[in-house]
Amino acid sequence: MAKWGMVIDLNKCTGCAECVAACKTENNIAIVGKEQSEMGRTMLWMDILTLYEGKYPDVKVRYLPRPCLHCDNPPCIKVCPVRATYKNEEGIIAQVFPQCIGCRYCMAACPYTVKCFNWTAPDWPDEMAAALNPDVSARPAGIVEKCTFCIHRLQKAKEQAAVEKRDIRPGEYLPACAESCPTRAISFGDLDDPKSEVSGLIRSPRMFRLLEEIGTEPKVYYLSESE
Amino acid sequence: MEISRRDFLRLLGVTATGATVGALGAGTVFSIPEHLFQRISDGPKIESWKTSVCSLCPGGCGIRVRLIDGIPVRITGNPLHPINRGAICPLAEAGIEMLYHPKRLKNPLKRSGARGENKWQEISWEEALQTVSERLNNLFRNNRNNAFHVFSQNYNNYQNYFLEEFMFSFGSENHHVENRIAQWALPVLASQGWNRVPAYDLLNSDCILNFGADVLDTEPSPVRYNQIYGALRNPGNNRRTDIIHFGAQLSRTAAMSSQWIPTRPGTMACLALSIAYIMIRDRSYDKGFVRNSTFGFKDWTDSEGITHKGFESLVTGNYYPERVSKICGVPAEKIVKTARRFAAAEKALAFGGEQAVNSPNGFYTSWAIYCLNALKGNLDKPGGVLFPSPVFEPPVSEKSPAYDFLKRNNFEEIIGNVLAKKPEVADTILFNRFNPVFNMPARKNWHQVLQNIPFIISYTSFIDDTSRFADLVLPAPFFLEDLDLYKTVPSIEFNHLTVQQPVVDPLYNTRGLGDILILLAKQTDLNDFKWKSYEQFVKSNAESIYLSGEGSIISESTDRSWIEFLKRRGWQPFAYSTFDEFWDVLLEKGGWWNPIYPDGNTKRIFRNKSGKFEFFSQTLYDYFSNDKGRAEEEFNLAFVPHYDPPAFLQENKVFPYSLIVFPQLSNYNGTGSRSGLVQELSAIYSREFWNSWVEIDPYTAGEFGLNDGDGIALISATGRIPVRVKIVPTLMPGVLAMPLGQGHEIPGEEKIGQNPMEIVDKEIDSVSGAYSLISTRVRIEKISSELS
Repeated sequence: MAKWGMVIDLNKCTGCAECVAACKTENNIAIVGKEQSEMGRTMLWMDILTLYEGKYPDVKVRYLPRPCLHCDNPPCIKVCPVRATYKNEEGIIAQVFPQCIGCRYCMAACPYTVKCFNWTAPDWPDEMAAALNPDVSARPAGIVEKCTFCIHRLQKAKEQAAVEKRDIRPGEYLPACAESCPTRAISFGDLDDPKSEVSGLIRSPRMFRLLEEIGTEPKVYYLSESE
Repeated sequence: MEISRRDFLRLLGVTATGATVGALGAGTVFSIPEHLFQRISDGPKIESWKTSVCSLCPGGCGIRVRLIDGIPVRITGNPLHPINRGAICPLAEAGIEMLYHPKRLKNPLKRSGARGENKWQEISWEEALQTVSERLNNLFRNNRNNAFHVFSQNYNNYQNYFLEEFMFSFGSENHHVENRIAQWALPVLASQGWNRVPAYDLLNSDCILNFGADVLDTEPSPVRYNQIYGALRNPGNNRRTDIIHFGAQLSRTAAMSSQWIPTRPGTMACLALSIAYIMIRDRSYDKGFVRNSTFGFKDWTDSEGITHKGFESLVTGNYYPERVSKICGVPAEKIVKTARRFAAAEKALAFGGEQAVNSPNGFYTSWAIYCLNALKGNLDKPGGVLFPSPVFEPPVSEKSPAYDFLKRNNFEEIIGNVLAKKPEVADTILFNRFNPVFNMPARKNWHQVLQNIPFIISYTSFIDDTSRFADLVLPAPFFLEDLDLYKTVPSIEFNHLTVQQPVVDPLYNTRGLGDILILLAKQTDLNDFKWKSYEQFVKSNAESIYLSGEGSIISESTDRSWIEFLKRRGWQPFAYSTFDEFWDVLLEKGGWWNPIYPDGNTKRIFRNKSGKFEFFSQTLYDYFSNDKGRAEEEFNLAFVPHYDPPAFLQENKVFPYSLIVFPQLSNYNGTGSRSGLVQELSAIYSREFWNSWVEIDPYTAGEFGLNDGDGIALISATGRIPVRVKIVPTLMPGVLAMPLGQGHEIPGEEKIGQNPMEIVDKEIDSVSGAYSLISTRVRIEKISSELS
């Protein structure tokens, strides 16, 4: 059984936000509009954190893409009263949207603030309805959502592999962000496969994880900038 | 939002089954137009892909569009395309949203209210074209052909050539193409007579001096430059490339560089020449190249016996680091260190962009920067400046004034004449997807100009700040519905051609520009306009590439080394028995390229009379020789790179701060503002979604007691805008920076954010005619209300 994980090389990341855009279109993430956005309700499954280091003129800007970190020891699933979020056998922290009752305990529990709440029903102009990705259901108001590692793509890849009676090939299943990153800063693959690209990368001395000390064991790894 | 338990359960039921196919879920949550609903809910859900090119900016990225039952649902990069290798940018992602945007124009519109009021009446294409051809015929009969003007944006597509040909047949010289990249080409023209943007071989360079070119966010091709910067920072390639970025703002491009050196806006020429000073003093420039292949380095005497100062004595006499340091705000030791690093690198290059060259002294700045490459002797060498062989372009381009970089955009002259009420100058204007009222300074002037022009036609997909003043609006198809070709993107080191294939039938009653022009030519009896359809024009251009036998259609197996390997042995990767076969494969793969760099003789890059790199430009001298009446000293200085202190740098008590405006990748020049996706993502760094902001340094913010999100009024000599503040440590103190692209003003629509061009002072580079984006002086007032 695979254990899916992601490595983000901050040396290669230029902060262009294509991963954010790819994620929003791939997953039919709602556009909340100006009014909601002012209240801090903009929905981003993949976000970019901008960090300033040092003082002018020796200042550095760092861009840090932040999806759901798919912790191996996730605080969010422990607090869910209805098991709407759980860790599946391949390590992905999945969300069952219809099961969510919108209590938002998981949002409070997540130390990385990756979860978004649907304050209103998603609303697109009539003309745009056809543009939605048919592989991902749109979420109604009142539930929590977050990055799924584009689990629908895994489903597709599995079906294809099953038809051809083989295993999933490396690179066959990629989340939208990893697929479209211009600089290939985002790598994705099976952490349990010692030959995979990601298991090679996480052995790098530059490897770190966010808030490692709290013991969440994230499966999204970062490679620090080399200077 | 109120939601009843029953509604809630209903939604749950819907989305539970929606996990595989969202159509049902979407149908309940949104209302979908009937015919599309039928197709997406009852269709067999067959997935297909079509290649095309993204035309939301001039970058020329190849795309692959995912279609479900023929309905486009997502744009992704074309992995075969050599420009973007499968990647795209956030703006391209918004393409689908804009295709289905409810504000798309669906029929031709005739103005029914006052000008600019945005009130329209839908009319038929027949009536619309009848109106245009009557006007054109009228001009034709009265020999006023030149009173028909066309303004086009320059997106590297072939439609501009076609328009050029039409204008040639019609007999009007007034096709004005906005050329945002002219400053990249002009110094090469001045020094070498080479009339194109050269390519910079960043990937093979050891040391790169970037003078304010925010290439990760705007022209020439942002996705490609993102990939290049990403690759340069990857330590896996065994060597480190030093990228040194000069600019007033730590932009995203600067953040990706090894070092950011804050430099006062408008002073980059001075800085570049100071680096030249160190190289000359250290005698660390390429002496062989300078001795054998340049002109005007040493003092020289012309045919009339007048002695002219050479580049060497001009530089050593004026640009010593201690003096330059005071002008640019860069410590002298940093200048010396940078110059020595540049001189010591095996392969190094210098280039400049917007923040340096969109300045009142922009041309000379651009030229001074370019001269560093000559001192380094890196022209036509790997890791230096490359000159790919000329691209395939329709023959009309050679005689076209619109592609002559030295010919200034005569917007100014036209505006002046129209304001002076000379009706013979402009009678009918066609804005071809071009929005000067939004993108250019002096907007009040434009408003007045547009009121004075008898007839305005706008060809566009959306009503914008300019087309709202039109008398007639012709609806343009979105690029996903239109056939075109995209030529080689400037500054790319290989030739390529991308097909803009229509991936979906036009959703509305729109027509391609080519086909409109053909109908107009018929109705105005332009007999020498020979084309039958735009498709014929596109195919005939593709055929000239097919017949040349050069390069190859992009495919999985044609990387550069393989094509070169075959070429050396007299082979080519593929053979096609007919053009139709070639065309089909071209559509399937998406494009053609020729990665082979011309061999050998460096002589070919000098196309001027002297056949050398000219520090004293004889090309410019010939061009402006009728200006010889000017004072000798000043006149001579006009033909050598130098630093001309811009007026805006003078001490100014009323407007103490400098304002620079900067582009953003996800919104290009306001193209993306209509998309909710762009609105909820382009402010990801400042968190001012659906708004605009001004960046300010902590010291200045402290003086005014400002916090993040506070409101200020930015006041310049031109205007005043209220805007929110974002405090960042990434700016030179005393410089404010504001993003471009927000604040469209269309009656009946909500204004989102503010447009900095409202307060940008109109200053123009005297040589290129380009508008300055960095020379506005402002003052600040703290405000508490008026902010949305």
